[in-house]
Amino acid sequence: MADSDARSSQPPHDAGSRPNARAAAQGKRAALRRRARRIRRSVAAVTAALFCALFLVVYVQLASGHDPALSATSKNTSTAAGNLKASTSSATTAKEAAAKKAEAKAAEAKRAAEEKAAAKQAGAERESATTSASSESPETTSSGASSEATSSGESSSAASPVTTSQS
Amino acid sequence: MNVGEVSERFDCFGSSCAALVTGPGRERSAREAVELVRRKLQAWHTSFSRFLPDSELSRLNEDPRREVPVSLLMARLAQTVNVAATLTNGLVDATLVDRIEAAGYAADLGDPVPLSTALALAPSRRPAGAASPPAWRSVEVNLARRIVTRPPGVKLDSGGLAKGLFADLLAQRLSAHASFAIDCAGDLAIGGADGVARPIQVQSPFDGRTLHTFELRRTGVATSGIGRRSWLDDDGRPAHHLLDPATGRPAFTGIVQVTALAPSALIAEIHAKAAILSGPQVARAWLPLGGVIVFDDGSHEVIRPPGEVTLSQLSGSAQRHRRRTLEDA
Repeated sequence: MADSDARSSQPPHDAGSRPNARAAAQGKRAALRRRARRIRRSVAAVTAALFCALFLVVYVQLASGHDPALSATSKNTSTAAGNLKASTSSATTAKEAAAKKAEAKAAEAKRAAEEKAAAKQAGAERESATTSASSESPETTSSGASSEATSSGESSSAASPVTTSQS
Repeated sequence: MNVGEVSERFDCFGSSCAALVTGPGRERSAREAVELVRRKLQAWHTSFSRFLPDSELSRLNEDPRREVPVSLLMARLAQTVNVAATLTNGLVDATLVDRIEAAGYAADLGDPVPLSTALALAPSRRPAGAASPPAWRSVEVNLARRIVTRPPGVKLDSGGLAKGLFADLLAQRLSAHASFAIDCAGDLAIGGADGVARPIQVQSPFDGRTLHTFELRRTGVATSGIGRRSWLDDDGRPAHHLLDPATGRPAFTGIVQVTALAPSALIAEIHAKAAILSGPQVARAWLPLGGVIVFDDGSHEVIRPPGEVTLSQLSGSAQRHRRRTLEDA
């Protein structure tokens, strides 16, 4: 009862107070918008500044001839690899070590077989090449120093030098 | 020579060519590959020599029609002429046949004039420039229809461009072999499935000694210079086959030889020629992937390939220099 009295005792909204409330709401909305814009702007500015700074750092490093990809990387990588290997080996069990040993042994045997086959094939090719050279024009110089290469223990993967000069 | 490597050197293009192949490919043995290279180069020589009146190139140059049907390879050469001139802003211009014939290079040359003599008699040094108006702009190629369109009278010179193109085409054919090198009269294509490094020795034009040795795997190399194809003209002036397109006269720029490394022999050839013609100030900008420049005074400069240098040296000064040059041009 008292509540209803209190409600009824409130003054009714008069025509003058409505525009004030609307203006206040509009003001609040405008303030919110301004704040959102300010935050958006500062985020964009900070992002751009960060990007520029990072770009500058990378550019200066490359321009000064200290490209990490070309100088220190291999060293670092090998060190890191060494650390990794050490930590892994300490963590592996004896069983794993034995399995690895067996695997390495098998790989070594496979490599040896492959090398043997390659040497055999290279020998056969050398022989056929020498034969064809001797039966062909004197211009043809085939495997002229092949015996040298063989005696020096060079593999067939080495390529002989070529001279470039004006034509 | 190494184990399993088959090689052959033979005369072609008025010079010497060679093929070195290791290991069998998918379709042929190393021996057969070497024979293929010799056969192809000698056949192309007869089609692309401007000294043979019956060659396809001579027939194209003499054809009075505006549109001339040609073989696919000739169409590619004509396209290459356009590409080379476009890439170098007209410095490497293979449409100067009349000028070079007027200068005295109308047939195979005899012994060259000693380089020191030619340099002593040569005019003052200056960088070359593009022709005006450039005839190469009038050359159009329709590869699909194999038609070359140009005003009658505009002649194409196979020159070094054809050698680079041929070396690259043959390199594609030999890509399955373990290792190969094709020396197409100074333009080299190096490669092979095994990716084996091959020593490439750059010779001095003065005394033939080795100036520098590169270790290269899959790449193109070209050496261009003014020492080998040189002569004295009717007035006793020294001349050679590298013309300044702006004047139509042999170019004396202060550089006597350039070796360029590039992804293909053709690009290497274009870069080497552009480097010589552009003179000592700009030459190194044409060698972003390495090379050797030999100057008039006998000194030389080695530009190391990327990997041997820092990235900044590759992307920084050379690129900036090149951009500036192109802008100036």
